[in-house]
Amino acid sequence: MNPEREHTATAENHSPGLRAKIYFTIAVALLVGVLFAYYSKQAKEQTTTRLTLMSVLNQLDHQQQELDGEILHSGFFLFHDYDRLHAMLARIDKSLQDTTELYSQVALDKDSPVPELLAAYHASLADKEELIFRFLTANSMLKNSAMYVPGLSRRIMLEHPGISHDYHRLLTDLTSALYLAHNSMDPDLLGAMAQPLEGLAGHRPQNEGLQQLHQALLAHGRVFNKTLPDYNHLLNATMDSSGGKVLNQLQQALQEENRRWLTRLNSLSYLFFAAFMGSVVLIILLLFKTERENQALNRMSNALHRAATRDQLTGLANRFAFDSDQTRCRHPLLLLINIDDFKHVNDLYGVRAGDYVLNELAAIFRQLLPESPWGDCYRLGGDDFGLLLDEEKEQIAAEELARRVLTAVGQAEFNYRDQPIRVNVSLGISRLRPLLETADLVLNEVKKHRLGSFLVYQEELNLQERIAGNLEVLENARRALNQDDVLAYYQPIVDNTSGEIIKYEALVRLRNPDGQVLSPVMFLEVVKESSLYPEFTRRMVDKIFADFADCRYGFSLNLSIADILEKEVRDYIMAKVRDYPEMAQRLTFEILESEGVENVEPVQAFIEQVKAAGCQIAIDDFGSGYSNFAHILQFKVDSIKIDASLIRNIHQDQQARVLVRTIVDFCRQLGIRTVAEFVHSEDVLRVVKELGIDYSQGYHLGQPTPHCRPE
Amino acid sequence: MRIVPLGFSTGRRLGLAAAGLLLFFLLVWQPGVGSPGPATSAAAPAAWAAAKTPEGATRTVREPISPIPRRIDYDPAKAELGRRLFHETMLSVDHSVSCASCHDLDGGGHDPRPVSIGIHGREGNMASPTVFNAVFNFRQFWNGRAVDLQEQAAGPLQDPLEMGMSKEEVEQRLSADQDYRTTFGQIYGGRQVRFEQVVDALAEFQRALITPDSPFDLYLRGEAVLQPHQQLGYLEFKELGCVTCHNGVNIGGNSYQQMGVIYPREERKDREIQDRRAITGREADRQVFKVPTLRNIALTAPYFHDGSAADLPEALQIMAHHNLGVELTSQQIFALVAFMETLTGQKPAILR
Repeated sequence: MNPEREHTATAENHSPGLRAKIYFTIAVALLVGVLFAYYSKQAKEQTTTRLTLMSVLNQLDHQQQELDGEILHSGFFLFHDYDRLHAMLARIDKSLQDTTELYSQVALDKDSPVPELLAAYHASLADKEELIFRFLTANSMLKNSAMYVPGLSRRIMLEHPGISHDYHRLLTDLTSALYLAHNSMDPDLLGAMAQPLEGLAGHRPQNEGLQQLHQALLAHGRVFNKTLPDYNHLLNATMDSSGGKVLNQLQQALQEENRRWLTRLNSLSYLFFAAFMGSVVLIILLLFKTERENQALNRMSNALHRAATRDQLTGLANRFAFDSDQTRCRHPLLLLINIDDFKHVNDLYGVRAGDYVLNELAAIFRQLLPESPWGDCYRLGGDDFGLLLDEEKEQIAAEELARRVLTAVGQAEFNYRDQPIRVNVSLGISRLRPLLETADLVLNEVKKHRLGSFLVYQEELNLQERIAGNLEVLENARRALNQDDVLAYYQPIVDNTSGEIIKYEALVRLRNPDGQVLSPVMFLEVVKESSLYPEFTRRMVDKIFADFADCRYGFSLNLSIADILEKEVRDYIMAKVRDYPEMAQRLTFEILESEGVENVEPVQAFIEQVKAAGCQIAIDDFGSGYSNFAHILQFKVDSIKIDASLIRNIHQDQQARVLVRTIVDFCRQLGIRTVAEFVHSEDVLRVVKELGIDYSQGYHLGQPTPHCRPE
Repeated sequence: MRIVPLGFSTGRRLGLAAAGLLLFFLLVWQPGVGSPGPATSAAAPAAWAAAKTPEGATRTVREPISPIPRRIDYDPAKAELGRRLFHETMLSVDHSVSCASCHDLDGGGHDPRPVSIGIHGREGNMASPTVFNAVFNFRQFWNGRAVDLQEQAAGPLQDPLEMGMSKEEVEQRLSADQDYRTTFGQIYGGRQVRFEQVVDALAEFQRALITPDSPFDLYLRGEAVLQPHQQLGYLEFKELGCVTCHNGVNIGGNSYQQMGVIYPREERKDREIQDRRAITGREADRQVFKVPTLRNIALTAPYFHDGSAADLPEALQIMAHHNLGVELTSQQIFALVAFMETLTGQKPAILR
């Protein structure tokens, strides 16, 4: 049996549950895959966003510092472009918007401090903006006044050289105090301005030009004095705005959040890795399980194989195994062994004894099987054994092996319950496919002719062709019966003393469709074995009776013992004899004694009946095969026909002559006539006459013709 | 992965599925594991460092005034719609005025009248400032109550003295007009005109109203030289301290300052002056206004929030007196006016 084929068969018969499981597995795998892809994409996006977010926060920090620097710049330089501050504020606002938007993409949980911090930063930014606007107002005022006080002082001193020394001093004091306060940015130092301002306020210059300058100077001094604390406060407030601190907190909170997110990401990736490892383990387990199941299946399949290919009784391989084995042999050699008359063993000693014998024989055959080359012993049927060998590498001495089998079996004595049983076997040996059929054919040959020996099937035996030929012959015979092509030929039998024809022997012929007439050698052997034979006999009887009805010669009819034993034939002949009593007087039955007569009574009865009707009895082909002297007496024979084998060479063969003389003497004493067959020449006829044989028959005297009259 | 016609044995089938799964994981795993790893550890600081854009810590002294950019980004379709709306009298409750009534685009983009006259002939409280270059102002209106142009545009539309509309009325009127409805629909989508769209279109139009390439801008760009008296005027402008408030691209419009720091001005009682105090409520913000732009100043008489100065010499003298405490000589005024005349730019491209 082919294990691979077995496997495929199981796979095809898988349950619908398995298919569902596979689909389920694939679905789960796809689901996990999609989840993983989603996870991977999310991770990538989130990482990018978070990185950008941190970078924007950093940028925000930088922008804030830049803004602070610009604010200081605007305070320090007299000429400043305030647009720069607004542009920076706009950039910071943009960065903050970016931050908020980016954060909304990665926000994890609701209780995160980040949104609150973002709102706080926004508020602080709004505050800062307001402070900056106010600072700019103070800044412009302060810068102008700080510029105008010394400028106006100089103009007063230049344009009005007549001012008092005290006034001059006040101007100088005011200018230096302003310078100091402005540069130190310290409101405490403003105190130094109060005294010169007061002093100047006390002056009422009369000169109109001077008064104008004086008023302006005083106003600028007052503006400076009034604005500086404001300016100072606004500058500090702007610088100290909570923005930087909030920004720091924001960065820390976001970093913390990033850490948490990373942890989560990692744990997710561990989860995926665990799932991956789990599936690997699962696959390994499945592989183990499959392997175990495979082993179990193999064991079962081996057991089944054994049960299917072994004979239960003998343990030998069976017919089924033989069929498959022999196809695999390149050059097979089969020894088909059959036990002769095994039925006897069963009948005589019982079936158990038979089984015992079979077992013992099996053991012998197994033992006889040569070790190398490959071969096996089979039980092919009830009492058929087979030794199958492969002659691929070396020629096996089949005959030697067969002889060893015969010897071994012949020498073996099987003691069943103290009862010794002996058996013999016959062998048919074949190397030609179909092995069993060819071996069987030769075995049949052996059985028929040489029981207890062997025969090797050879192409020349042409057994199969013979079978085909037999079938052809039978077909022809059947056709001949239907088309009246079964003919009766007659050969004259001559009286040796008078030389006159005394009777004719009727011989069967068969005419082919082309008109060719066949002699019995061509068909009779086959027809005798078939069911057509009784019909043939009847047809011959009819023809002879018809032909000899108006003829004075006697005539003889060949009958085999088998014919006589056939009741139908026997009755038919008896009816003819009775219907034509005159012809019965002229009729001789030539009985062919080729087989032994086992059942004598019916034959005896028939002979007595026909003799009573006036018929005569002759023994045909006496001196060959089964020649039973007892029958001569028993059947009250009227004549015997001496076999052709004795007559053919009687003119040369001394021994044949002695034998024939003996027969003739013996017959003469018993009053039995003798007939010589196959008298084919004058020489033979002469010897036959000398020996005193009564009648002669042969080609020398007359060939068989379809007519019952001399030519 | 083949699914339907599986012709092999169970074991091999499972093996195949397992192998497929393994392959799938290997394919997906590699980039998945690879990307978060390095990004969070070593590569992160480098990335942040790279993001830093170092800006020059040292600055050279430069002019406190910068030229108007020659081009500004705006949506032409919206601006064109804004231009139509700007001239649309339907936007005033009695169909009497449009934005253009008080912002003369053929002149200085302002109202040559000291105060504007709105619906039903009502007089406003303040002089209409110019719409030219308004986009560069850090806040809108005299007291900076609007953060941007959109917010500004909503103001006059709904002011009972100016156009007296409600948002709903604006939407209703424009939606009723087939042409407007189609145009709005094409630009903004939707079947109904919405107020935000109206002010957005108006703002987009005003974005386009810039006047680049004045002689002074050409000077700043180094593309032209100033006449000596103009040059002298710019020097005076700086020396006198005008530039402390009038700086930036708009030469003003980037801070709030008080009118009358040195000698306070007398307030007119008959008009409700909307200064910074109206917004902040602080006393210190009395008479504090957004510094007006000096761009195209020669075209935008009368001057100040109340339109009280009829010409530039007068306005200069007032400012010198109240905010600097000095009286300008005629030479100074001549030079300053000469300088201010260089601030007149090219007509906005969208109006040409």
